[in-house]
Amino acid sequence: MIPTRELFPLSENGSVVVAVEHEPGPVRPFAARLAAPVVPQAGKHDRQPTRSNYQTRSNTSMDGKQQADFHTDTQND
Amino acid sequence: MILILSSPDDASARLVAERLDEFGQAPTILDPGAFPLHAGLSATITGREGWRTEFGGIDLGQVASVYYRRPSVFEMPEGLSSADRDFAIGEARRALGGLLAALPAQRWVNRPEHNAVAEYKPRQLHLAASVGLRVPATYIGNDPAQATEFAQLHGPHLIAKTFQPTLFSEHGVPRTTWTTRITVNQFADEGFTVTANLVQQWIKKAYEVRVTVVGDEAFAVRIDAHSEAARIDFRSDYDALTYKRIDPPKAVLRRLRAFMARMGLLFATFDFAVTPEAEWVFFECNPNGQWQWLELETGAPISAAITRLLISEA
Repeated sequence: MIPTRELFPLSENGSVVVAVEHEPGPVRPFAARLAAPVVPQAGKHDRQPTRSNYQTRSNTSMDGKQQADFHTDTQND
Repeated sequence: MILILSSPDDASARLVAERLDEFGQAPTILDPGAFPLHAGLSATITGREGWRTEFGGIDLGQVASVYYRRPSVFEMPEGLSSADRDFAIGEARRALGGLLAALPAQRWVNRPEHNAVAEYKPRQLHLAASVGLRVPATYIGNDPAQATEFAQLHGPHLIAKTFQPTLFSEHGVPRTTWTTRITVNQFADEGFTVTANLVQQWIKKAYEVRVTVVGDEAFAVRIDAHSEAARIDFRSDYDALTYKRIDPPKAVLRRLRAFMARMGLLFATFDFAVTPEAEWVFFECNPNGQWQWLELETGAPISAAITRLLISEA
């Protein structure tokens, strides 16, 4: 049920982050194609952007979920 | 000792720390992400007394309760290859994670492994329905024909949402997938078969509610959306929102408590739609969800409730 890397999800970004650039391929997940531009909402979901500790491939977590760190913390849970 | 595990950047963690200080219970704040560059780790076990763990110069043997908020990522030294950095991070997670999980603390708000399990939306919907909450009719899968059949039964008004928060950047523009209204024709998109999709019947809303449950206390905030985007997903347009504290139906609270007990949670935020007929429809649970902005908007004393939970006897 829990991926082993999430047994203790210690790699959450505390504030973060920079959404790492990517170039979409010709085929995309349906929901990814629905993505819309997002405006940072400082003061709403309680954290202000700070630097990412690193931006190479790794795992980040938002509220207990982990994912490759081209996804970054949206503060929108 | 009350321990807060979080990035120091997290405003919610800071607010709880301030409240604890006011209660005369100044917490220890540690960010696991400070390891190894800014905080060292030493632990030994020699017998039944368990681990003697020192992290960042703090003896963790006296921890009575833990507020697990937003630990940051491990920061590794420069000069590591990508593979070695992954290796080092994995070792750090298993070591420090295991030691923290073995702390003698009687109370966690929440245990991170419980958060991780509770994050799965399919399980949330199943559990919510099983405790008696109404949930939107939902399809999960990648079969356009089955999705179309679902739409014929529960459409034509449908939404798509993701299983997890996402953010990526295209051509320099950060993008995320909010809850989005879709039509049955979109199931023909070749991307529909690429991975699992979450499709739900559209629930007509009079307004939305976020209920923050902290132990035996609950704080419900009515969220009224005043733009089309916010009426679909309130996160997409905060400037169009107004807030008001309300009292949720007792039956809803009773079911939320059953939900939390089954998930092993002491804290969670829940999002509901309230229909024009005043029916509450469960959307999702965020076991480590944001709440500080609602305290600021409405005065709901959530940080004080978390503080009471942390200092109470387990």
